[in-house]
Amino acid sequence: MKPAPFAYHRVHSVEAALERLHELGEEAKPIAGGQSLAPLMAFRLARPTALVDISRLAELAHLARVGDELRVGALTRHATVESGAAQCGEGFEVLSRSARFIGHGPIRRRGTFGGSLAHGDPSAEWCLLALALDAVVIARDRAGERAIDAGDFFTGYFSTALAPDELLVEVRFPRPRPHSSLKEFSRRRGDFALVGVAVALDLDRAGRCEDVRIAFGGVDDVPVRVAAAERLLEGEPAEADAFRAAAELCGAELGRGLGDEDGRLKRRLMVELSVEALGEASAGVPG
Amino acid sequence: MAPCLPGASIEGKDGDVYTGAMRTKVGPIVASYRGTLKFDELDKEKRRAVISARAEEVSGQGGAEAQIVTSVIEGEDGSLVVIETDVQIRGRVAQFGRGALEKISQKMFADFAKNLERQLSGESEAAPEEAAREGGGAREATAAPPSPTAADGTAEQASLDVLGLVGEQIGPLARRVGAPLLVGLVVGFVVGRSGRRGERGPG
Repeated sequence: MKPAPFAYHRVHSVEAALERLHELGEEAKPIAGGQSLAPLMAFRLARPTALVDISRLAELAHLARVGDELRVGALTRHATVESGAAQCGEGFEVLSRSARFIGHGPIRRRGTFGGSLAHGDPSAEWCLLALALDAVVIARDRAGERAIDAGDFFTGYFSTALAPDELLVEVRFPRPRPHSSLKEFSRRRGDFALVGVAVALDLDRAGRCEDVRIAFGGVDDVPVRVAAAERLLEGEPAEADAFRAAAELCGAELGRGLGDEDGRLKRRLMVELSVEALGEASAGVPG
Repeated sequence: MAPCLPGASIEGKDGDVYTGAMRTKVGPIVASYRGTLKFDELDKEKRRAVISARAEEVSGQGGAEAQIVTSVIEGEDGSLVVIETDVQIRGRVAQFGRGALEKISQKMFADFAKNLERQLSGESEAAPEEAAREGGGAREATAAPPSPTAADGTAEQASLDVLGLVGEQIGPLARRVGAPLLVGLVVGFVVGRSGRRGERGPG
Protein backbone atom coordinates (compact mmCIF):
# COMPACT_ATOMS: atom_id res chain seq x y z
CA MET A 1 0.00 0.00 0.00
CA LYS A 2 2.75 2.40 -0.86
CA PRO A 3 2.78 4.51 -3.98
CA ALA A 4 5.32 4.02 -6.72
CA PRO A 5 8.12 6.59 -6.64
CA PHE A 6 7.22 10.06 -7.82
CA ALA A 7 8.71 13.53 -7.83
CA TYR A 8 7.03 16.14 -5.65
CA HIS A 9 6.80 19.81 -6.56
CA ARG A 10 5.20 22.34 -4.26
CA VAL A 11 4.11 25.52 -5.96
CA HIS A 12 3.11 28.87 -4.55
CA SER A 13 1.30 30.48 -7.43
CA VAL A 14 -1.07 29.40 -10.14
CA GLU A 15 1.46 30.53 -12.74
CA ALA A 16 4.13 28.33 -11.24
CA ALA A 17 1.71 25.41 -11.15
CA LEU A 18 0.91 25.86 -14.81
CA GLU A 19 4.59 26.09 -15.72
CA ARG A 20 5.32 22.92 -13.81
CA LEU A 21 2.43 21.01 -15.33
CA HIS A 22 3.48 22.11 -18.76
CA GLU A 23 7.08 21.11 -18.33
CA LEU A 24 6.34 17.81 -16.61
CA GLY A 25 3.86 16.65 -19.20
CA GLU A 26 1.15 14.07 -19.18
CA GLU A 27 2.51 11.88 -16.42
CA ALA A 28 2.32 14.62 -13.83
CA LYS A 29 -0.81 15.31 -11.81
CA PRO A 30 -1.84 18.26 -9.70
CA ILE A 31 -2.74 17.30 -6.16
CA ALA A 32 -4.52 19.29 -3.46
CA GLY A 33 -6.52 17.44 -0.82
CA GLY A 34 -5.35 14.09 -2.09
CA GLN A 35 -8.57 12.31 -1.21
CA SER A 36 -9.02 10.77 -4.64
CA LEU A 37 -5.59 10.56 -6.18
CA ALA A 38 -3.68 9.44 -3.10
CA PRO A 39 -5.65 6.19 -2.59
CA LEU A 40 -5.30 5.39 -6.27
CA MET A 41 -1.57 5.88 -5.95
CA ALA A 42 -1.39 3.82 -2.80
CA PHE A 43 -2.92 0.94 -4.71
CA ARG A 44 -0.63 1.71 -7.61
CA LEU A 45 -3.54 1.98 -9.90
CA ALA A 46 -2.32 5.45 -10.68
CA ARG A 47 1.42 5.98 -11.03
CA PRO A 48 2.04 9.60 -11.84
CA THR A 49 5.73 10.31 -12.19
CA ALA A 50 5.32 13.70 -10.56
CA LEU A 51 2.86 15.54 -8.35
CA VAL A 52 2.39 19.27 -8.38
CA ASP A 53 1.08 20.25 -4.97
CA ILE A 54 -1.28 23.17 -5.38
CA SER A 55 -2.65 23.09 -1.85
CA ARG A 56 -0.81 26.31 -0.87
CA LEU A 57 -2.57 28.40 -3.47
CA ALA A 58 -4.80 30.42 -1.14
CA GLU A 59 -6.05 32.41 -4.12
CA LEU A 60 -8.05 29.35 -5.16
CA ALA A 61 -9.76 28.75 -1.83
CA HIS A 62 -12.60 31.22 -2.16
CA LEU A 63 -16.33 30.73 -1.86
CA ALA A 64 -18.25 33.86 -2.79
CA ARG A 65 -21.32 35.26 -4.42
CA VAL A 66 -20.85 37.66 -7.29
CA GLY A 67 -24.33 38.89 -8.02
CA ASP A 68 -26.44 35.86 -8.86
CA GLU A 69 -23.39 33.76 -9.47
CA LEU A 70 -21.73 31.58 -6.88
CA ARG A 71 -18.01 31.12 -7.39
CA VAL A 72 -16.32 28.17 -5.77
CA GLY A 73 -12.55 28.16 -5.87
CA ALA A 74 -10.93 24.88 -6.79
CA LEU A 75 -9.31 24.54 -3.38
CA THR A 76 -12.45 25.16 -1.35
CA ARG A 77 -12.78 22.20 1.00
CA HIS A 78 -15.96 20.16 1.07
CA ALA A 79 -16.32 21.04 4.75
CA THR A 80 -16.17 24.73 3.93
CA VAL A 81 -19.14 24.34 1.64
CA GLU A 82 -20.90 22.19 4.20
CA SER A 83 -20.69 24.87 6.87
CA GLY A 84 -20.76 27.75 4.41
CA ALA A 85 -24.46 28.16 3.68
CA ALA A 86 -24.14 31.83 4.59
CA GLN A 87 -21.28 32.39 2.15
CA CYS A 88 -23.11 30.50 -0.57
CA GLY A 89 -26.12 32.67 0.01
CA GLU A 90 -29.77 32.18 -0.66
CA GLY A 91 -30.68 29.71 -3.33
CA PHE A 92 -27.59 27.54 -3.04
CA GLU A 93 -28.60 25.64 0.07
CA VAL A 94 -28.46 22.42 -1.85
CA LEU A 95 -24.66 22.59 -1.91
CA SER A 96 -24.27 22.78 1.85
CA ARG A 97 -26.94 20.16 2.40
CA SER A 98 -25.34 17.74 -0.03
CA ALA A 99 -21.81 18.05 1.30
CA ARG A 100 -22.62 15.71 4.15
CA PHE A 101 -22.92 12.84 1.69
CA ILE A 102 -19.26 13.16 0.80
CA GLY A 103 -17.13 10.57 2.55
CA HIS A 104 -16.49 11.26 6.23
CA GLY A 105 -15.42 14.28 8.25
CA PRO A 106 -11.68 13.96 7.66
CA ILE A 107 -12.25 13.50 3.94
CA ARG A 108 -14.46 16.58 3.81
CA ARG A 109 -11.88 18.66 5.62
CA ARG A 110 -9.11 17.72 3.21
CA GLY A 111 -10.81 17.05 -0.07
CA THR A 112 -11.43 19.97 -2.41
CA PHE A 113 -14.31 21.02 -4.61
CA GLY A 114 -12.15 21.37 -7.69
CA GLY A 115 -10.38 18.10 -6.97
CA SER A 116 -13.66 16.25 -6.93
CA LEU A 117 -14.69 17.67 -10.28
CA ALA A 118 -11.29 17.14 -11.87
CA HIS A 119 -11.29 13.56 -10.65
CA GLY A 120 -14.58 13.08 -12.45
CA ASP A 121 -16.06 10.20 -10.53
CA PRO A 122 -19.42 9.61 -12.19
CA SER A 123 -21.17 9.24 -8.87
CA ALA A 124 -19.56 12.16 -7.04
CA GLU A 125 -21.93 14.69 -5.49
CA TRP A 126 -20.26 17.83 -6.85
CA CYS A 127 -20.13 16.38 -10.34
CA LEU A 128 -23.85 15.69 -10.20
CA LEU A 129 -24.71 19.10 -8.84
CA ALA A 130 -22.47 20.82 -11.35
CA LEU A 131 -24.51 19.19 -14.07
CA ALA A 132 -27.92 19.80 -12.48
CA LEU A 133 -27.19 23.45 -11.68
CA ASP A 134 -25.64 24.25 -15.08
CA ALA A 135 -22.26 25.04 -13.58
CA VAL A 136 -19.38 26.28 -15.65
CA VAL A 137 -15.87 25.02 -15.00
CA ILE A 138 -13.06 27.53 -15.37
CA ALA A 139 -9.82 25.98 -16.53
CA ARG A 140 -6.54 27.80 -16.91
CA ASP A 141 -3.38 27.01 -18.79
CA ARG A 142 -0.35 29.12 -19.61
CA ALA A 143 -2.16 30.77 -22.48
CA GLY A 144 -5.21 31.82 -20.49
CA GLU A 145 -8.58 30.75 -19.22
CA ARG A 146 -11.50 28.97 -20.75
CA ALA A 147 -14.97 28.13 -19.53
CA ILE A 148 -16.33 24.63 -19.95
CA ASP A 149 -19.99 23.80 -19.43
CA ALA A 150 -20.49 21.01 -16.94
CA GLY A 151 -22.36 19.15 -19.66
CA ASP A 152 -19.18 19.03 -21.76
CA PHE A 153 -16.72 18.60 -18.93
CA PHE A 154 -17.08 14.92 -18.08
CA THR A 155 -15.90 12.62 -20.81
CA GLY A 156 -15.72 9.17 -19.25
CA TYR A 157 -14.77 7.33 -16.09
CA PHE A 158 -12.43 9.66 -14.22
CA SER A 159 -11.88 11.55 -17.42
CA THR A 160 -12.60 15.18 -18.12
CA ALA A 161 -12.11 17.80 -20.79
CA LEU A 162 -9.09 19.17 -18.90
CA ALA A 163 -5.80 18.97 -20.75
CA PRO A 164 -2.81 17.61 -18.80
CA ASP A 165 -1.33 21.09 -18.47
CA GLU A 166 -4.61 22.74 -17.53
CA LEU A 167 -5.69 23.50 -14.01
CA LEU A 168 -9.27 23.69 -12.84
CA VAL A 169 -9.32 27.00 -10.96
CA GLU A 170 -12.97 27.71 -10.26
CA VAL A 171 -16.50 26.43 -10.60
CA ARG A 172 -19.30 28.92 -11.25
CA PHE A 173 -22.93 28.29 -10.50
CA PRO A 174 -24.81 30.83 -12.60
CA ARG A 175 -27.88 31.49 -10.49
CA PRO A 176 -29.67 30.56 -7.28
CA ARG A 177 -31.73 27.43 -7.50
CA PRO A 178 -33.74 27.32 -4.29
CA HIS A 179 -35.78 24.43 -5.63
CA SER A 180 -33.11 21.82 -5.92
CA SER A 181 -32.19 18.63 -4.15
CA LEU A 182 -29.69 15.80 -4.13
CA LYS A 183 -30.56 12.30 -3.00
CA GLU A 184 -28.42 9.24 -3.05
CA PHE A 185 -28.18 5.70 -1.85
CA SER A 186 -25.02 3.95 -0.79
CA ARG A 187 -24.65 0.62 0.93
CA ARG A 188 -22.45 2.05 3.64
CA ARG A 189 -22.33 5.51 5.03
CA GLY A 190 -19.66 7.60 3.35
CA ASP A 191 -19.28 5.37 0.34
CA PHE A 192 -19.80 6.67 -3.11
CA ALA A 193 -23.40 6.41 -4.11
CA LEU A 194 -24.69 3.38 -5.90
CA VAL A 195 -27.13 5.80 -7.48
CA GLY A 196 -27.41 9.51 -6.88
CA VAL A 197 -29.75 12.07 -8.37
CA ALA A 198 -29.63 15.85 -8.37
CA VAL A 199 -32.66 17.84 -9.48
CA ALA A 200 -33.35 21.53 -9.92
CA LEU A 201 -36.49 23.30 -11.03
CA ASP A 202 -38.23 26.64 -10.95
CA LEU A 203 -41.87 27.07 -10.05
CA ASP A 204 -44.08 29.59 -11.78
CA ARG A 205 -46.87 31.37 -9.94
CA ALA A 206 -49.32 28.62 -10.62
CA GLY A 207 -46.93 26.07 -9.15
CA ARG A 208 -45.88 24.58 -12.47
CA CYS A 209 -42.38 23.30 -13.14
CA GLU A 210 -39.98 25.21 -15.34
CA ASP A 211 -36.39 24.81 -16.36
CA VAL A 212 -36.19 21.31 -14.93
CA ARG A 213 -32.89 19.48 -14.52
CA ILE A 214 -32.60 15.85 -13.53
CA ALA A 215 -29.10 14.40 -13.37
CA PHE A 216 -28.02 10.93 -12.28
CA GLY A 217 -24.74 9.59 -11.06
CA GLY A 218 -23.58 6.02 -10.77
CA VAL A 219 -25.52 4.78 -13.75
CA ASP A 220 -23.09 5.57 -16.55
CA ASP A 221 -19.45 6.53 -17.04
CA VAL A 222 -20.34 10.21 -16.61
CA PRO A 223 -23.12 11.95 -14.74
CA VAL A 224 -26.08 12.11 -17.09
CA ARG A 225 -29.19 14.20 -17.52
CA VAL A 226 -32.44 12.71 -18.69
CA ALA A 227 -33.74 15.26 -21.16
CA ALA A 228 -36.96 13.37 -21.89
CA ALA A 229 -37.99 13.42 -18.24
CA GLU A 230 -37.03 17.07 -17.91
CA ARG A 231 -39.27 17.90 -20.85
CA LEU A 232 -42.07 15.80 -19.47
CA LEU A 233 -42.14 17.91 -16.32
CA GLU A 234 -41.90 21.24 -18.08
CA GLY A 235 -45.14 23.14 -17.49
CA GLU A 236 -46.59 20.37 -15.31
CA PRO A 237 -47.91 21.04 -11.84
CA ALA A 238 -45.32 20.25 -9.19
CA GLU A 239 -47.22 17.31 -7.84
CA ALA A 240 -46.55 13.74 -6.90
CA ASP A 241 -48.15 12.23 -10.00
CA ALA A 242 -46.08 14.28 -12.38
CA PHE A 243 -42.92 13.53 -10.40
CA ARG A 244 -43.64 9.82 -10.42
CA ALA A 245 -44.20 9.83 -14.18
CA ALA A 246 -40.93 11.66 -14.77
CA ALA A 247 -39.10 9.36 -12.39
CA GLU A 248 -40.43 6.26 -14.12
CA LEU A 249 -39.28 7.68 -17.42
CA CYS A 250 -35.79 8.19 -15.98
CA GLY A 251 -35.70 4.58 -14.85
CA ALA A 252 -36.82 3.39 -18.25
CA GLU A 253 -34.43 5.61 -20.19
CA LEU A 254 -31.30 4.92 -18.21
CA GLY A 255 -32.21 1.45 -17.01
CA ARG A 256 -31.99 0.12 -20.52
CA GLY A 257 -28.25 0.36 -20.51
CA LEU A 258 -27.86 -1.52 -17.24
CA GLY A 259 -27.66 -5.28 -16.93
CA ASP A 260 -29.50 -7.83 -14.84
CA GLU A 261 -29.63 -7.73 -11.05
CA ASP A 262 -27.54 -4.68 -10.54
CA GLY A 263 -29.64 -3.00 -13.17
CA ARG A 264 -32.92 -3.81 -11.45
CA LEU A 265 -31.75 -2.36 -8.19
CA LYS A 266 -30.38 0.73 -9.86
CA ARG A 267 -33.53 1.31 -11.86
CA ARG A 268 -35.57 1.08 -8.72
CA LEU A 269 -33.26 3.48 -6.96
CA MET A 270 -33.36 5.93 -9.83
CA VAL A 271 -37.13 6.03 -9.70
CA GLU A 272 -37.56 6.28 -5.94
CA LEU A 273 -34.69 8.70 -5.38
CA SER A 274 -35.87 11.05 -8.08
CA VAL A 275 -39.43 11.04 -6.77
CA GLU A 276 -38.01 11.98 -3.40
CA ALA A 277 -35.67 14.60 -4.80
CA LEU A 278 -38.33 16.23 -6.95
CA GLY A 279 -40.66 16.35 -3.97
CA GLU A 280 -38.04 17.93 -1.78
CA ALA A 281 -37.00 20.39 -4.47
CA SER A 282 -40.54 21.56 -5.11
CA ALA A 283 -41.15 22.03 -1.42
CA GLY A 284 -38.01 24.17 -1.29
CA VAL A 285 -36.55 22.65 1.81
CA PRO A 286 -35.09 25.24 4.12
CA GLY A 287 -31.33 25.35 4.36
CA MET B 1 -4.20 -3.25 -37.31
CA ALA B 2 -2.57 -2.68 -34.01
CA PRO B 3 -2.12 1.02 -34.68
CA CYS B 4 -5.89 1.29 -34.85
CA LEU B 5 -6.28 0.28 -31.26
CA PRO B 6 -5.16 3.14 -29.07
CA GLY B 7 -2.30 2.11 -26.85
CA ALA B 8 -1.62 -1.18 -28.59
CA SER B 9 1.54 -2.25 -30.33
CA ILE B 10 2.85 -5.41 -31.86
CA GLU B 11 6.42 -6.09 -31.02
CA GLY B 12 7.18 -9.27 -32.81
CA LYS B 13 6.01 -12.47 -34.40
CA ASP B 14 7.17 -16.00 -33.92
CA GLY B 15 5.33 -18.42 -36.17
CA ASP B 16 1.70 -17.69 -35.59
CA VAL B 17 2.27 -16.18 -32.20
CA TYR B 18 2.40 -12.42 -31.95
CA THR B 19 3.89 -10.59 -29.06
CA GLY B 20 2.70 -7.18 -28.17
CA ALA B 21 1.90 -4.62 -25.56
CA MET B 22 -1.10 -2.64 -24.55
CA ARG B 23 -1.38 0.43 -22.44
CA THR B 24 -4.74 1.71 -21.39
CA LYS B 25 -5.50 4.87 -19.57
CA VAL B 26 -8.67 5.62 -17.69
CA GLY B 27 -8.27 9.00 -16.11
CA PRO B 28 -5.29 8.75 -13.78
CA ILE B 29 -5.27 5.00 -13.93
CA VAL B 30 -2.91 3.32 -16.28
CA ALA B 31 -2.75 -0.37 -17.00
CA SER B 32 0.12 -1.72 -19.05
CA TYR B 33 0.22 -5.28 -20.26
CA ARG B 34 2.56 -7.34 -22.31
CA GLY B 35 1.76 -10.69 -23.76
CA THR B 36 1.11 -12.92 -26.67
CA LEU B 37 -1.64 -13.51 -29.12
CA LYS B 38 -2.21 -16.53 -31.19
CA PHE B 39 -4.62 -17.35 -33.97
CA ASP B 40 -6.13 -20.71 -33.10
CA GLU B 41 -8.33 -20.61 -36.13
CA LEU B 42 -8.30 -18.39 -39.15
CA ASP B 43 -10.93 -19.11 -41.73
CA LYS B 44 -10.70 -16.62 -44.53
CA GLU B 45 -13.68 -18.06 -46.35
CA LYS B 46 -15.98 -17.68 -43.44
CA ARG B 47 -14.17 -14.65 -42.22
CA ARG B 48 -13.94 -16.08 -38.81
CA ALA B 49 -11.03 -16.15 -36.45
CA VAL B 50 -10.47 -17.55 -33.03
CA ILE B 51 -7.70 -15.94 -31.12
CA SER B 52 -6.28 -16.65 -27.74
CA ALA B 53 -4.43 -14.01 -25.87
CA ARG B 54 -2.53 -13.95 -22.65
CA ALA B 55 -0.86 -11.03 -20.98
CA GLU B 56 0.80 -9.99 -17.76
CA GLU B 57 0.86 -6.62 -16.12
CA VAL B 58 4.10 -4.84 -16.82
CA SER B 59 4.37 -3.63 -13.27
CA GLY B 60 2.32 -5.69 -10.95
CA GLN B 61 1.20 -9.23 -10.50
CA GLY B 62 -1.97 -9.15 -12.47
CA GLY B 63 -2.70 -10.60 -15.81
CA ALA B 64 -5.37 -11.54 -18.23
CA GLU B 65 -6.34 -14.30 -20.56
CA ALA B 66 -8.84 -14.02 -23.30
CA GLN B 67 -10.42 -15.97 -26.05
CA ILE B 68 -11.68 -13.89 -28.88
CA VAL B 69 -13.92 -14.99 -31.66
CA THR B 70 -14.42 -12.61 -34.50
CA SER B 71 -16.69 -12.90 -37.43
CA VAL B 72 -17.84 -10.67 -40.22
CA ILE B 73 -21.39 -10.30 -41.40
CA GLU B 74 -21.71 -8.61 -44.72
CA GLY B 75 -24.33 -6.01 -45.24
CA GLU B 76 -25.36 -3.54 -47.86
CA ASP B 77 -23.35 -0.63 -46.68
CA GLY B 78 -20.48 -2.36 -45.07
CA SER B 79 -19.49 -5.24 -42.92
CA LEU B 80 -20.55 -5.82 -39.37
CA VAL B 81 -17.60 -7.07 -37.44
CA VAL B 82 -18.64 -9.04 -34.41
CA ILE B 83 -16.13 -9.65 -31.70
CA GLU B 84 -16.94 -11.96 -28.85
CA THR B 85 -14.53 -12.01 -26.01
CA ASP B 86 -14.22 -14.07 -22.88
CA VAL B 87 -11.81 -12.38 -20.61
CA GLN B 88 -10.39 -13.57 -17.37
CA ILE B 89 -8.61 -10.98 -15.36
CA ARG B 90 -6.37 -11.32 -12.34
CA GLY B 91 -4.85 -8.76 -10.03
CA ARG B 92 -5.78 -5.40 -8.68
CA VAL B 93 -7.73 -4.57 -11.71
CA ALA B 94 -9.91 -7.58 -11.36
CA GLN B 95 -12.64 -6.42 -9.11
CA PHE B 96 -15.12 -4.15 -10.57
CA GLY B 97 -18.48 -4.08 -12.07
CA ARG B 98 -19.06 -5.43 -15.37
CA GLY B 99 -20.95 -2.36 -16.46
CA ALA B 100 -17.88 -0.22 -16.32
CA LEU B 101 -15.85 -2.84 -18.02
CA GLU B 102 -18.24 -3.01 -20.88
CA LYS B 103 -18.49 0.71 -21.17
CA ILE B 104 -14.78 1.18 -21.43
CA SER B 105 -14.35 -1.61 -23.89
CA GLN B 106 -17.14 -0.17 -25.99
CA LYS B 107 -15.30 3.10 -26.14
CA MET B 108 -12.10 1.37 -27.09
CA PHE B 109 -13.79 -0.57 -29.83
CA ALA B 110 -15.50 2.54 -31.07
CA ASP B 111 -12.12 4.24 -31.34
CA PHE B 112 -10.74 1.18 -32.95
CA ALA B 113 -13.51 1.02 -35.52
CA LYS B 114 -13.09 4.68 -36.29
CA ASN B 115 -9.37 4.32 -36.76
CA LEU B 116 -9.77 1.20 -38.80
CA GLU B 117 -12.26 2.81 -41.06
CA ARG B 118 -10.03 5.78 -41.54
CA GLN B 119 -7.10 3.60 -42.33
CA LEU B 120 -9.00 1.40 -44.73
CA SER B 121 -10.61 4.20 -46.60
CA GLY B 122 -7.23 5.71 -47.13
CA GLU B 123 -5.82 2.49 -48.41
CA SER B 124 -5.63 0.99 -51.84
CA GLU B 125 -7.94 -1.62 -53.21
CA ALA B 126 -7.54 -5.17 -52.27
CA ALA B 127 -9.16 -8.47 -52.85
CA PRO B 128 -12.51 -9.37 -51.46
CA GLU B 129 -10.78 -11.55 -49.02
CA GLU B 130 -9.58 -8.49 -47.43
CA ALA B 131 -12.95 -7.92 -46.12
CA ALA B 132 -12.35 -11.17 -44.52
CA ARG B 133 -9.05 -9.82 -43.67
CA GLU B 134 -10.62 -6.96 -42.07
CA GLY B 135 -12.61 -9.27 -40.11
CA GLY B 136 -9.50 -11.06 -39.31
CA GLY B 137 -7.65 -7.88 -39.12
CA ALA B 138 -10.19 -6.42 -36.93
CA ARG B 139 -9.82 -9.15 -34.53
CA GLU B 140 -6.24 -8.93 -34.99
CA ALA B 141 -6.41 -5.40 -34.06
CA THR B 142 -8.65 -6.09 -31.27
CA ALA B 143 -7.05 -9.17 -30.32
CA ALA B 144 -4.01 -8.86 -32.30
CA PRO B 145 -1.99 -7.15 -29.93
CA PRO B 146 -2.73 -10.10 -27.85
CA SER B 147 -1.84 -8.20 -24.93
CA PRO B 148 -4.27 -5.74 -26.26
CA THR B 149 -6.99 -8.20 -25.95
CA ALA B 150 -6.03 -8.91 -22.54
CA ALA B 151 -5.41 -5.30 -22.29
CA ASP B 152 -8.93 -4.65 -23.26
CA GLY B 153 -10.08 -6.63 -20.46
CA THR B 154 -7.49 -5.16 -18.35
CA ALA B 155 -8.26 -1.71 -19.26
CA GLU B 156 -11.78 -2.26 -18.41
CA GLN B 157 -10.79 -3.83 -15.29
CA ALA B 158 -8.58 -1.04 -14.50
CA SER B 159 -11.43 1.24 -14.73
CA LEU B 160 -13.35 -1.19 -12.76
CA ASP B 161 -10.76 -1.16 -10.15
CA VAL B 162 -10.96 2.44 -10.06
CA LEU B 163 -14.58 2.31 -9.54
CA GLY B 164 -14.14 -0.10 -6.79
CA LEU B 165 -11.50 1.98 -5.25
CA VAL B 166 -13.39 5.06 -5.38
CA GLY B 167 -16.61 3.50 -4.53
CA GLU B 168 -15.43 1.62 -1.57
CA GLN B 169 -12.49 2.29 0.49
CA ILE B 170 -9.44 0.27 0.94
CA GLY B 171 -10.69 -2.67 2.92
CA PRO B 172 -13.09 -4.09 0.44
CA LEU B 173 -10.73 -3.37 -2.34
CA ALA B 174 -8.00 -5.35 -0.79
CA ARG B 175 -10.35 -8.15 -0.12
CA ARG B 176 -11.38 -8.30 -3.64
CA VAL B 177 -7.93 -8.19 -5.06
CA GLY B 178 -6.80 -11.35 -6.64
CA ALA B 179 -10.19 -12.76 -7.40
CA PRO B 180 -10.35 -13.51 -11.05
CA LEU B 181 -13.03 -11.80 -12.97
CA LEU B 182 -14.71 -13.52 -15.82
CA VAL B 183 -16.25 -11.34 -18.36
CA GLY B 184 -17.91 -12.03 -21.61
CA LEU B 185 -18.14 -9.28 -24.10
CA VAL B 186 -19.77 -9.05 -27.41
CA VAL B 187 -18.93 -6.07 -29.45
CA GLY B 188 -20.18 -5.31 -32.88
CA PHE B 189 -19.33 -2.46 -35.13
CA VAL B 190 -19.74 -1.62 -38.72
CA VAL B 191 -16.85 -1.03 -40.98
CA GLY B 192 -17.88 1.15 -43.84
CA ARG B 193 -17.92 -0.05 -47.35
CA SER B 194 -14.61 1.49 -48.10
CA GLY B 195 -13.29 -0.64 -45.37
CA ARG B 196 -13.95 -3.75 -47.32
CA ARG B 197 -11.24 -2.81 -49.66
CA GLY B 198 -8.73 -2.45 -46.99
CA GLU B 199 -5.34 -3.90 -47.28
CA ARG B 200 -3.72 -5.91 -44.74
CA GLY B 201 -2.13 -2.97 -43.19
CA PRO B 202 0.56 -3.09 -40.66
CA GLY B 203 -1.50 -5.24 -38.35
